[in-house]
Amino acid sequence: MSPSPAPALPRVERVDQFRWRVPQQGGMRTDGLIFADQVLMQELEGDQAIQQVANVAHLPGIVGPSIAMPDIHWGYGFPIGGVAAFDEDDGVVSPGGVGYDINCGVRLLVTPLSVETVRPRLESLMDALARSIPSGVGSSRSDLRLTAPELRRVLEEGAQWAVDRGFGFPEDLLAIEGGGRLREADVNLVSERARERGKAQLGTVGSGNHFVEVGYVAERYDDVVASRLGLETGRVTISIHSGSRGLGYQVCDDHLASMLAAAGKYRIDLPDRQLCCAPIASSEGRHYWGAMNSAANYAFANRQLMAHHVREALATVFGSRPEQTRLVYDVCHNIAKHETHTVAGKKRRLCVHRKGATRAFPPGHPEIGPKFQDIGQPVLIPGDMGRYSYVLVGTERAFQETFGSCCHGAGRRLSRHKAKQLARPRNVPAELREQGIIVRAESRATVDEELPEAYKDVARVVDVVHGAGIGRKVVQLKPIGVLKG
Amino acid sequence: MGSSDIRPAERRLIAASGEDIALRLVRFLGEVLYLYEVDRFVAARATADGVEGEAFDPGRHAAVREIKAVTYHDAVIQRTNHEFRVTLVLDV
Repeated sequence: MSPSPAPALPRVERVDQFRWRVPQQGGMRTDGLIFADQVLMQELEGDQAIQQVANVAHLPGIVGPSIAMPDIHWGYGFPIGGVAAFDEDDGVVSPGGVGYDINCGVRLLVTPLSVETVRPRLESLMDALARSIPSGVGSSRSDLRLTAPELRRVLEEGAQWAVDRGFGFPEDLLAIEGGGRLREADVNLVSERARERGKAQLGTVGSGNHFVEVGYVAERYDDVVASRLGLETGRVTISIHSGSRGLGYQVCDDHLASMLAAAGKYRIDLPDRQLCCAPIASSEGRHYWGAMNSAANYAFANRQLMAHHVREALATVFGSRPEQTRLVYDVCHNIAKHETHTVAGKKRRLCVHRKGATRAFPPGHPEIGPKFQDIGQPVLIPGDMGRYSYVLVGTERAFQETFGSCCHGAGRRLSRHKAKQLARPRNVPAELREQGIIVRAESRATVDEELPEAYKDVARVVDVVHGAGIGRKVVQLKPIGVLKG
Repeated sequence: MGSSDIRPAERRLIAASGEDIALRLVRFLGEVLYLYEVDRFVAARATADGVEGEAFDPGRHAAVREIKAVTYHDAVIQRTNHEFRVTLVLDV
């Protein structure tokens, strides 16, 4: 296999305070559009990510620019923080535009408890969470090994399956992107191998950057919207960041293989093998679509199950009733969706890929459900484990400019290797404890690699999307307890 | 598995296909990963037609990191005299 070509670095032009254009050049079919301020852009210099924004612009049927959010960093094929929309008739679908962790996403719960109530018993809460939610390398559940028919239902019904089984409440489904169940799932297209990997991992958080985090509302930027979401100042929240675990990784891998062959068959010229793709209507495209949606449902069920265990842990330690801990919202940040957007004054059906980017639909959009019609869709942006996270809402501007998309997190700044080197002489959990944050982790390596400085400052990332108008800040959350893999 | 001592007690066959050697290596390692995820089988060494290893034993083996996938990203194999130089990117 030849290395991907290393052409001259793509030229980048500044558009305004928060926007940069990668003008169409070489085989690009459209411009690239990067959201960043001067500092974030400087950090990107020499990074593969800008080249990847340009590479995505080569793909057939791309509509509008190849977009990157301010938390952009290099990924496999597509950059992480990338958004690309393709025409349903002559465009493509690409597993690399979704990522290995299909429907990796974030779910935010708000408890009835204040931070003053929780702090004195935080150790007990963290122990209870660690007991009920397996984390770490190859984590699996001994209490829930799905039978083949039950796994089918998970893949078809997503969070609905979990609610039917008594994990959570029907109201939860109204606060999940797509209702927690994607109807385009076709279970028959999920390989036996993927199913094998999924059998014992439902309800587990995994490792790496995935977590369950206890936090509280530290600052409010929009009182009306914050109160509508139940996010009162000082209120304790729980964030869950995880996806479709081994099942999703396997679905991606299975289809990368079939699409490598498809790219040749359909004469799609690829600047990088990992960008492999197939026409949306081709058999390869349709097979990936059915399997990818099934894996996305698995991820919804996974986060629903973990939310159930969080509610149980809170009940055990604080005596709160499970229904008092309400689901604020659950977003996907690795997914592709068929959506209707207006392009140059014309309504078009597009296949929007969001890889490390969050949907951010505006008030009034029919797909965000009745609860959020007047405020817009909540957008959940976790930061690193030492600083803060944000809740935003989607805007009309995002709908017009980024196919209704926003950033998804802080974005890595240092490689894992570099972070580990920095952390080695230090005691990161002790440092965080000094700041009032308890960390429970299966391995020291994970904590070291997830060192707060390994990430960009999420406040800066969020200020870019807020300033550019593609998201609107609602609250800032600060962590007090983190469960890591 | 870090520096855990893994015994080549059992054989598992792996057939990896692909149009070139890098593609076959990516798929071979993908199979090794699958054996661990599904069967908790850890490989000690590669053979001509698969791997030799044993069942994961938490008493003797440490699982240091989770690997999501062996990617195709910039996979390169170069041959210099009697050596191979391999660049592979793992998603962790």
